[in-house]
Amino acid sequence: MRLDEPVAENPLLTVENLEVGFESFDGLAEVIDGVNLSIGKGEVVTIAGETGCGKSVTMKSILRLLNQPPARVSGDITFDGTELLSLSDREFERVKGQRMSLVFQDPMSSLNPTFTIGEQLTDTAQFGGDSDTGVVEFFRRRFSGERDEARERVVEMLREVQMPDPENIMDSYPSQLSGGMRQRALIAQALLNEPDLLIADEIGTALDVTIHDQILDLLADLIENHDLSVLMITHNLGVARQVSDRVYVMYGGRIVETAPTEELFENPKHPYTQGLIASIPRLTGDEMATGIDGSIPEYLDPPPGCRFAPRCPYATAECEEARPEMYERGPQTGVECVLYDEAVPASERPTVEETRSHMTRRPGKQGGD
Amino acid sequence: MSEPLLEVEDLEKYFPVKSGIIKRTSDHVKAVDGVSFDIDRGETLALIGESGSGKSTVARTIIGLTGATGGTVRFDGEDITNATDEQLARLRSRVQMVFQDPTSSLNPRRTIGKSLAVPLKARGVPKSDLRERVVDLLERVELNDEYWNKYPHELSGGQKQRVNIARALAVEPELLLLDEPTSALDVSVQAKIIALLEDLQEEFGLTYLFITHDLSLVRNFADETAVMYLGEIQERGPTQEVFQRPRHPYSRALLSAIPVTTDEEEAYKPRHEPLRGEIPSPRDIPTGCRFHTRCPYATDACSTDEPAFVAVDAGPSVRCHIYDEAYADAFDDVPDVAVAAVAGEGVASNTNEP
Repeated sequence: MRLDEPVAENPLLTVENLEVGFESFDGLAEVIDGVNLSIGKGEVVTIAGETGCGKSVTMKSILRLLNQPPARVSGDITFDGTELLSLSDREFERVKGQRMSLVFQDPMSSLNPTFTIGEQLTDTAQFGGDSDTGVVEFFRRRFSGERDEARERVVEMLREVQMPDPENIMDSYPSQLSGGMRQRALIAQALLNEPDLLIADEIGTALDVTIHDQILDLLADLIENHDLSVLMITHNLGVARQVSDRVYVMYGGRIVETAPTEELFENPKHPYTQGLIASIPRLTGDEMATGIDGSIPEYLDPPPGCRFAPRCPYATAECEEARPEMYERGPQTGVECVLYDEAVPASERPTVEETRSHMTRRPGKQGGD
Repeated sequence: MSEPLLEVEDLEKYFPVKSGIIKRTSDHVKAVDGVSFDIDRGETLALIGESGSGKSTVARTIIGLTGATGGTVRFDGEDITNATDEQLARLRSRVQMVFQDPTSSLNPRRTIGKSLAVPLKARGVPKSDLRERVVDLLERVELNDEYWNKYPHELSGGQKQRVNIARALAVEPELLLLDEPTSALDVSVQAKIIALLEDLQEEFGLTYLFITHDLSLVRNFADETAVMYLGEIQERGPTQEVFQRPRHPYSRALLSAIPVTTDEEEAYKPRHEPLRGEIPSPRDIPTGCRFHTRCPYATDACSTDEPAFVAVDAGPSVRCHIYDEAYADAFDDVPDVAVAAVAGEGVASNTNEP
């Protein structure tokens, strides 16, 4: 059976058949090729994948952060009943400013170094979502009592993200803050417009382990308190397991597997997911696979069938010809792999152990990573 | 047992902080403050720590990229602390380093062949043999001779890191200093680089100093593990011990902070003890135990007395008052997991129960 319905119940955001291409001198690079995903209200969903799998491009096309051209975006993106791609830029800015927020990956470069934290965050609190205030209106509001109220809200929000000494931080420049504090400031900024949807791109990845841990704990609390719907983007499967309800695994610009978090980690199905999970070093000291041979597809000339086929230990001629369907394998669970066709007996489907042994070292192999 | 290949004793590296018009030294950044360890031939020591812990400075001081301000480094019995140029020339054909960022450590205007030929030329390999030797090197790191003519930008991160390892191997070193060699890479590529390093160690009997912030990576890879915090080693012992019964509160916090992917690992982790606050600046190191500002068990004594580095249960050495008889009274309120390890009651400290 095919999985073509949005898998989230009561979806807030659905992305259907998203395709993103980039025009380049060498032709059109088909980076995102038919991505379907959905986020339910109050759900935390992760897109996990390695460098170059298209997870950031997917996020950027949802938020209209790609320059068009060279990018070409098509498909349907629906946010709470509104079709986003057909909105004008101004209408989209309104929806985005009032209902969505993005926390960027790099806390070092996402804050303006020439303004204090207080100025930046208060501006967001006061003018967030208004893209065309006008000069006169700007100055009127900037120097009215409204400013003080906004400032109060910012201090309150900084306190909520457990920023140490928020009053003082308001008058500090980003360069005076540590990485962890900058990340907290960014999270506070993202929550100021009380968004329905929070998009977190590799949150805390640039930070140390113990600080990263603090940020993830904080995020979990905030999701709970603000009843947020979250789209997380991460390359770290451990993070995906810790924070999310449901996971999409991306490879080569396509979603290859989706499942509720527990199901995905206990019972990974796609050979790529299995290889990825087997490659993660284990705390318990179990042997780890020696990685997946080959490298990510060339987007200018992607493999015609399954994009993972050239690296897949189970690939057949069929895989190289046609793109596999997304087969439904349980509630909210789908795999884009021919091995999960109903006609294939269960015994022929690979287990993680099999994939691990396929991906453990073979002498004389050329290392193309 | 043979002599250790590398002995580091009380290594200190203080960077001066200059201020005022005449640039007087007003203060010091104590990047490395009394670090001691040794590595036997053919073994691997993992040096673990967060940014600012001084782990990279240790490696840079060993190989002479920065001078030491105190302590000694001995390589194969010879004192190489602040080595002379003549010593360095000899040393660098025996000790090599692989850096974290595979891109910035390769010259973008040189082909891979040329980059790899540099160390060979320095060793006096005749020009006629160069190509053959470079291809040999590439094969050692599982790349083929097509790479001879390629430029670094044509390679992926993993391939570049392989070239860096090949370049370090060109002089046939005995000791490799690996400074976060995989932290810029994806997991599936990281797994391949680790496998390669294991193969090379077996084949050439290499000795590794492996520097990383990722604890789970060294579980299978290192014979010994040392955990650094603010320029000091806080816990050092056989890897197995450090993972199964992490004694120092900081080691436990590090282990418990790793996001894992299976339930077995979740059960294996020490109880989750989030640390307070952030890492203090190495310019302004806390008095007493350096970790006391973030330690969940810290007492008054911790902020005044500096703990000694002592062996616990003949296992790893730990720098913590909890394991010192003299301070036993001060830690009444420490949960069982912390004390059980001292008393040796056989209660593994990695239980999940509070």
